[in-house]
Amino acid sequence: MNLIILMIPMALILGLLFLGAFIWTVKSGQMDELESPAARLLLEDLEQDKIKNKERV
Amino acid sequence: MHTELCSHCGSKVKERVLSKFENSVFCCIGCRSAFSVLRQLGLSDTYYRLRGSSTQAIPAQLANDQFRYLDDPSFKKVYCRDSNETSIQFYLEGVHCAACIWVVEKIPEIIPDVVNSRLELGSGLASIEISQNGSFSDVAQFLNSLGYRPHVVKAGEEKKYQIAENRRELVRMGIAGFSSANLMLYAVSLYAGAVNSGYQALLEWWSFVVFLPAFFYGGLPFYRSAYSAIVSQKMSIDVPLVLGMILGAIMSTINLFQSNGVIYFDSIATLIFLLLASRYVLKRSQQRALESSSLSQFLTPSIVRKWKIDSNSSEEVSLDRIEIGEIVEVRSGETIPVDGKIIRGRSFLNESLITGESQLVSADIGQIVYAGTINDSSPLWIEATSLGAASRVGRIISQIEQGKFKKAPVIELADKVAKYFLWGVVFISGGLLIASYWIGLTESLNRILSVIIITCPCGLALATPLAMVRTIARAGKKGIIIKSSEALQRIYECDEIFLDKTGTLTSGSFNVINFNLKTVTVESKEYFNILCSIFALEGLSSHPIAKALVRYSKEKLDSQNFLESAQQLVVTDFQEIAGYGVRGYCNGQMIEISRARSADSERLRNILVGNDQVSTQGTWVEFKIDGKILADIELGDKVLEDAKISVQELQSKKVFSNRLWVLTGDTFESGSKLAQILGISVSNVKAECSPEQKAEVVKQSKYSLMVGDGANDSLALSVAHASIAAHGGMEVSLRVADCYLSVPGLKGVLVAVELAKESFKVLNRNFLFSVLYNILGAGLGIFGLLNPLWAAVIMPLSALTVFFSSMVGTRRMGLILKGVAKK
Repeated sequence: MNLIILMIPMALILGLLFLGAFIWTVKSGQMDELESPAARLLLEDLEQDKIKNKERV
Repeated sequence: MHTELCSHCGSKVKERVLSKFENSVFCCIGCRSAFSVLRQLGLSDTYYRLRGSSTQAIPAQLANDQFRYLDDPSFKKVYCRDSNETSIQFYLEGVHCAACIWVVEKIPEIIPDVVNSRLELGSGLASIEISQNGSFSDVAQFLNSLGYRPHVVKAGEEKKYQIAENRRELVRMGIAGFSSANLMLYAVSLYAGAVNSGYQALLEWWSFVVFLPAFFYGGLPFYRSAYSAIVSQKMSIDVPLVLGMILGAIMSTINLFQSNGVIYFDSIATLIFLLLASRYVLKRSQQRALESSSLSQFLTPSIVRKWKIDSNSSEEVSLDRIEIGEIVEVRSGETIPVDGKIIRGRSFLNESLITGESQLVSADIGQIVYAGTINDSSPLWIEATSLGAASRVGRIISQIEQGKFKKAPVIELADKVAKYFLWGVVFISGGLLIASYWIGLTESLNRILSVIIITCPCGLALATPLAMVRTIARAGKKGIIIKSSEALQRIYECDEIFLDKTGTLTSGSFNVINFNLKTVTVESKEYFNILCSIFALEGLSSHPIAKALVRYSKEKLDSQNFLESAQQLVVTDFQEIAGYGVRGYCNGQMIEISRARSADSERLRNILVGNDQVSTQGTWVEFKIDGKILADIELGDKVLEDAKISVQELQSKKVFSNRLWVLTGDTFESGSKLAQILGISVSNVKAECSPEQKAEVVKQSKYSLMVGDGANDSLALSVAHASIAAHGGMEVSLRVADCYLSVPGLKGVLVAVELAKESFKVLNRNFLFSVLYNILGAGLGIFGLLNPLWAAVIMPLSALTVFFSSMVGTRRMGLILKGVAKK
């Protein structure tokens, strides 16, 4: 049970890290609009294809 | 018989539009032009590959504007988002998939001097940045040619405020989530046995610490709302919620300090987190619904042609730059932008926006005209006498804005319920306190806590709004934009429907309705020769009938690629005979297009019998070659296709039978003719109504649903119990109505009514479940059969049942939207 002295702070620090990351994403505007990133995913595939085709040629 | 799909947008093709590209077929000229633009730029392959994954079929919309005003420095000063005047935001109609993002963001590579271009799918906003030499009009022109009609968006302060507020709420939600997740960790440890070890105190105290941010920061919006509800004595569902939260927190803290009893920090924190999440989702979708409505309609700048006497020409300027006494040139088909006096030109006007009358009115020099009317036939030069807010239309708008006709606020069902919950809880708590004389104070306090926790209406507060929101969002995607769940409730409460005639039940403009060929068929070459002759001859006249015929023939010819040959046709000996028609020679044949003689009306009436499409004021015109009649053409104000079916469906509902009315500014004759066609009794027609009179009629009915558009309906729309603004409506209607249809046709009204009914069913069902649940739970709590801990565990179960009931409801609503639901 001594482990719990370590576990609680660890869990909290990990949680705080994630919370910090979340607050950062919100403040930097990544959460303002959630539909475009879903569509942009397809565009990324396109870029990958282009690069692959160039490499082949 | 197979239905073809448009090669550009994928929607079903009703009337083929041909193109020079083989194997491609289009639903409209807009799609064809977008396709060819993409092909010319070599963007087709990727564009259609990306689009392949999208499921929405939106035909391309082309605007007729020139966009040159976008380069005007005074315009840029007002609308540019930065001081260098190099960036601007457009709202684009019809963007919905990855292909749209791709092509819009490729603009820097296609158009010179464009630095950056970014599209936000959710809002349809495209942010464009150009270099000093760049031109916004080029960008707008390109976007337009692709079928994304662009509207300029004013850099608004409200948007920034909204973004900041949303971010704040997200952070609040994040903190509450962090807190509740960690608390659950500790709670699990405690249940798992830490209670017996020496670490119980540590875990419990630490839970308390982690609980504080969620309780004080996360719960803040609810405390504020509950406080204002109590202070204004308007009951809201937040009050019992907050009561549960605060009491639970106090009890847990007391137990903590006394080191006995159970603590509920995790339950309360989770409750706060879930409530914040659902409120956030609710707010975002309401914002989105309002956004798409406001941006596309409200922020397009009005551009008018200011006439300069000295140079005898006009320049395009923004409407706000016109002053009284200045002259404005209004070409045919354009809307008159100011109240004023005609000083040059003669034409015909469509005054339906003001009077509701669809028949064209002649306009001569010296006549007073009003802003909002459409100049149909020839150019007019108008000296401005009142502008903007001072114009007749403007005055109506400002009256409404000042809230003279504010609707009574709807008490939401949830809030009504909250009142009963609260009184019930207070009553029970009082009873239990008295009972403490027998069972002891701690026991009675525990029981009070159990009762409060289990009767906490979080199910109603959470699941119901979410169900509403989802339905409203989906209806929005189908073009039925509902302002809020209150709006739906109001629509449900209506039992009498008032329909405006012009623009709502009919198309509102003078058009060709029937084209009957006498000897040849539609597919034959002769048919197109006829159309070419009509186009050539009527193009030389500016009579409203001529304009309508030109519009009709142009569209038909263009869709089959015959327009060029029609434009090359030469007409000799052209004559326009007033009251009769036009006459001329084409390729050696004498062509006449003239009014049908009354002796022929019997023949024409027989044609009408076989036809489904009917008009309310038919004007018949004959097409003759060398004296022989080859075609009969009927013109008038066309009844909208689905109007008849929708009206019949509405009447078949018990609620509305015989309570459908037609209100119109037109003559009684045309009104009753329309009523007959639709199946509404003639006694339910109120004709020759001014805007004020329409409002009077609507006000007299307690639960009225008004369906209309245009400035002449906005008064009636605002006094009705619930209102729906039909397609093509004016700005004001859209601000004042509960719901508006961005797709033409009356079907939207039918769907809105059915959705309202279904949503009401869901609400009632949820309410019933909640009540049953609470009676059961409260009963158990009163008799001490349920300790607060179990109460906290079971409470989410009630939320789940309500949630499932809402899901069933939304599924049915989805079916209604798809048009397949059985009654």
